[in-house]
Amino acid sequence: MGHSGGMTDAGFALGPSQTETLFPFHLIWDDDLRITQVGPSLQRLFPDLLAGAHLLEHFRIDRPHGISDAASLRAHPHRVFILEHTQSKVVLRGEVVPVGPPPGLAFLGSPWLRDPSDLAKLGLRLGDFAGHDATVDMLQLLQTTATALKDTQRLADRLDERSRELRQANEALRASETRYRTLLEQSPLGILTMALDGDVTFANRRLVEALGGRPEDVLGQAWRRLFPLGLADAALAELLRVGTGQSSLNIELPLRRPDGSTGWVSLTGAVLADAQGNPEGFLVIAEDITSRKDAEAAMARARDLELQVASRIQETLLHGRAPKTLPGLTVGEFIQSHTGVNGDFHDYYVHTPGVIDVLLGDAMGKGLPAALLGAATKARCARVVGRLIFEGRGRLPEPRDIVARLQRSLGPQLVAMESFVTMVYLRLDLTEGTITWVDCGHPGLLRLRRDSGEVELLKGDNAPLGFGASQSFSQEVTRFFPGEVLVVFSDGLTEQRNSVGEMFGTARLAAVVQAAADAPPDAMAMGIRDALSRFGDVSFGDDVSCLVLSANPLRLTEPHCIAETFPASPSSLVGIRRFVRRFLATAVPGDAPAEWEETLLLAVHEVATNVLNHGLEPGTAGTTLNVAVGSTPEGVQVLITYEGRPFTPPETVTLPDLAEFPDHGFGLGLIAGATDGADYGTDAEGRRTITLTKRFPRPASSAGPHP
Amino acid sequence: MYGMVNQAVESLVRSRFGDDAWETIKRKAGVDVEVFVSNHGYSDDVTYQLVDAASEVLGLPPDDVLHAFGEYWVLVTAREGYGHLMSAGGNTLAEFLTNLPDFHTRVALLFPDLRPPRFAYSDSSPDGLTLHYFSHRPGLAAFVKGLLSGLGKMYDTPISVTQTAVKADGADHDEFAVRWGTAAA
Repeated sequence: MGHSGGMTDAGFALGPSQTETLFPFHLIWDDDLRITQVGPSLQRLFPDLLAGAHLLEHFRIDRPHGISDAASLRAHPHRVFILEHTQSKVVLRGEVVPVGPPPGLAFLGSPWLRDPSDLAKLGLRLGDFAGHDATVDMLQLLQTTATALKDTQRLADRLDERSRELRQANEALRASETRYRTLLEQSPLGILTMALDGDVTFANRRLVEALGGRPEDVLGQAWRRLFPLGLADAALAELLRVGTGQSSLNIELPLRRPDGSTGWVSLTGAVLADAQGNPEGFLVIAEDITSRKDAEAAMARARDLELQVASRIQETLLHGRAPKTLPGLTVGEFIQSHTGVNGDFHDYYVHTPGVIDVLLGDAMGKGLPAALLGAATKARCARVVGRLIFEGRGRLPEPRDIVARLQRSLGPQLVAMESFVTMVYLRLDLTEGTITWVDCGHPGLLRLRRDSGEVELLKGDNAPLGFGASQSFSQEVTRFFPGEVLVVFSDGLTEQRNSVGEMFGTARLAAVVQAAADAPPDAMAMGIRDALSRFGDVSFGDDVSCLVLSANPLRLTEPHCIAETFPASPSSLVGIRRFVRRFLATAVPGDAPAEWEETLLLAVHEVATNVLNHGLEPGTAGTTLNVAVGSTPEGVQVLITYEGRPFTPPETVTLPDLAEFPDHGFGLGLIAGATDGADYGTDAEGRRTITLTKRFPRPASSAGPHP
Repeated sequence: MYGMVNQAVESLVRSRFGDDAWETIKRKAGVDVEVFVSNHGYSDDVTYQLVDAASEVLGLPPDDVLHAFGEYWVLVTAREGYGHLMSAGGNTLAEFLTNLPDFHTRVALLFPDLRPPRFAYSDSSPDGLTLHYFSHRPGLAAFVKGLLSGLGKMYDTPISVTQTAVKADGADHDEFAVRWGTAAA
């Protein structure tokens, strides 16, 4: 090799092997441009490139221009030579240096590759290139650049994707916001948002309407200006507690609108939090509840009115107006209900003067349902009594039979309703001086005896109505005389509790009755009430009914008359006598001697006997006697009516001249002697009548007997 | 660390475990990178955190994760980016391995800031060689074994790799005895 720059030639030369290693793509030709040597990698690239071939048969010298022989080749030292393989168009890049001897030129270079993929296309491997050859480095750099471009494209694609997602999200957000705004504005509920300091940041149309203002009256205003001051502060305090998660806002506030009208609004609150969950404001949903509040007030008024009506109904239906006096009886009572309406009920049935039935019961439960049940029981009982009297052709049924029929009539319905009724049914027969009672689960009766002044508890042992299927009831009988007192009460009285849970009890009631023995019945009733009030606070825990019945000596205060029909049979004689006796018990003055009543009863008995023995036509079985008895302040008349033969007594009948009544004159004489007059006649319908008149033993204060 | 390595981690996770798993791993690793650029140098911590998070999320030991990434890098990631160069690296596994040092030499020349590892080989024979791995990054021997395993698959050549020196245990560098063909059996 010749000189290289200013360096001194040190005799350095490359052997063939070194040349092949260092320049695997070299090509050497002589001055005739005949190829003399080919590098191994170039040989592998162009297998047909053989020694002896002319250079320009295989290559076109692209750079420098104008090369056609060795001389022109030599004229371009240190120039970049580009040889293009004419067949494959593969370009070789390098430079040409003179070599020799023999003189020739050597091309030192390598294939010019624009892309790493050219390696595969040309079948080249990295090992085909010399280590110092920068071609591989350039390919690696190109590959790196390509990879970077690929990364850039990938990043751009990703950004496009993100941008598209963001655009879609924004569109969705705008749509969502539109829907949200529409919902807010169209919501039937008022909605507002406010900052933590209470300033209103949004209010929808409904809220503005509810507050009765304009949007500018609400937006930007402090929360506390929208509502009555104290209430708004309280609500804001609640909201702040909502903010700390301690409670939820759910309150109702009154409103006064700018136009002066008032209303109500219900507020429900929630916290608005930022992305980190920190409270940044509040959402308040307001509902105009003015209509509901008005309706509630109207309902409350209606309820009060209903209770008032129900209470009045109870007074009339369940208890009615208690008679101050009944024939032979004075009554005092007090009724107290738990809710203004209760299930206690009572009633009086006056059969004849001196014979009075009293009913007192307690339907299970409280309020209107119990009251309705009590009213139904009371009405059913009255119907049962009337029905039984009709079925008995006027004969008064026994209390036990009344209760039994009532149980048959009402019991199944009570069982179906899973309810029951406790009651006591009692009959005061002042003519006989007896009390007959049927106790169905009631706490009993108290009798204040006149003879000893003691209070006696009267009990029975029947089950309440509606309990089981019992069809028979037992009744109890005891004496009851004028001047004695009977107290009938519901269990609400004796079971009233005081502040320590102690019950009032029967013993306390008996003590109150005994202490008020000389008081009139109404005063005694009030005394019991006061004692109960002092014992168990002013309010009563249960319904309480208390009747105080006092037996009086019978006094007739005005003319009256009763009648009853009996079978025309000797067996009716006792009933006729009892019927008249009952009437007389109420009609005869208390100071009349017992003989006065007995003689009149004797006369009635004789008349009835005469009619049965002599007045009836043969074959008239089934006919009846009608007995009517009436009174005035002057006396008593008894009218016996029958269909049959008349009696014609003598003009004057006296006793004891028995000779004048050889056949049946004794009876007529007895009648004449026992009465102040016996008239025999015929009524307008042709029936025979016998009228007995007997004046009271004292001077009459008013005129004329009752016809 | 070379971005292409992180790409391998991402691509492997996405292709085998889904996009959600990758997002979970990224979140757990605290890595907020939308796209890894192949030739950009990332903090080594990014790679280590991704590997740790992937290990936790996928329930695999870290070395298994690294091994899988190494294989995937060779078979998928690097072939996508440097397929032609890799193919030209040699006709056989042995030829490729002997060219391997030059690959990284050029990378070091082109991207001096990446501080790529350096490879060398010795004891070359027809059925094996000793591969020397020099790196200032600790704990990536499993990744190298994965690379070698991937190369064996790329050349369809049985390969066995045994680490014969461990830098973590005090050796100067990691060494691997690589056998192929029948010698690998």
